[in-house]
Amino acid sequence: MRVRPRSNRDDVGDLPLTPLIDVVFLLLIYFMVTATISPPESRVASTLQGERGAGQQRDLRPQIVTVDLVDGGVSYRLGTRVFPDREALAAALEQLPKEGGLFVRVTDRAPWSAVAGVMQDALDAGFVKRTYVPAD
Amino acid sequence: MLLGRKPARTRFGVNMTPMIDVVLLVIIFFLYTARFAEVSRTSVDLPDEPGARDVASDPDALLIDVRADGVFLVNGRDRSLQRVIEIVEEQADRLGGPQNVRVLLRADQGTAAGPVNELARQLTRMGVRQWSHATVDRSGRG
Repeated sequence: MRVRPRSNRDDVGDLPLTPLIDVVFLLLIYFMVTATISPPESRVASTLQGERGAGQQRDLRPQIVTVDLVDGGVSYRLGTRVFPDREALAAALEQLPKEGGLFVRVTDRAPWSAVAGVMQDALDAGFVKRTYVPAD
Repeated sequence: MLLGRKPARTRFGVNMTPMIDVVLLVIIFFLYTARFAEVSRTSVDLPDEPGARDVASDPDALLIDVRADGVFLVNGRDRSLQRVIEIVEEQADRLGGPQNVRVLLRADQGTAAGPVNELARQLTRMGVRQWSHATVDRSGRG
């Protein structure tokens, strides 16, 4: 019985794995050192108020939320009603008709975190059109 | 002349080490330079809100950062309000009018709305209408 000798080709494909593993470990260490864990950013779109008196006829009265800083605390005013916190304002926004949109009027003193909160509440309440209005 | 005999096969041992070293250096180079492009997005403590769900990224929007002390930054560099407006005008010229400019405001949650309001007034005068502000959802509510 003739037994075929083993081919030497098996030996040709042998690659040294040690440098490859070194590289992989270095890359791993690199990514671990440089990685910064940060939550993804999102955004809330709105429009800026156009020129006043542009001839737009409105059947609906504008719904305006004013964000201000009064006596060191944030004040949210919707028409004549003043809300002490965002939760109360958010509940009121849910009840409003959404067709006319919402104007968010912001004083210079208002903290930006509160403004962003009102914009978020308007978005969550279902206002498609949100307008940012800097207070005079 | 040798007939019927295969020539002796010469075995070439390819040394992979220098090639892998070079590949590693190239990878590190690209990773390092790629980081520079991300630096333009300044580290700003954004308001902790979930923002809009299903919001598409808008790479063409003009990013304007507002630090907690009210300083404006565009492309990571401090800018005066006047310079920011000039940059917006340049953008408007490129896009065919201020109505096509989209501003993405990244304002620090610790800032007062005063600087943002001043920017909004200037943009309104220019005719820019589309703007949005960035938020970050740290609690994963969104």
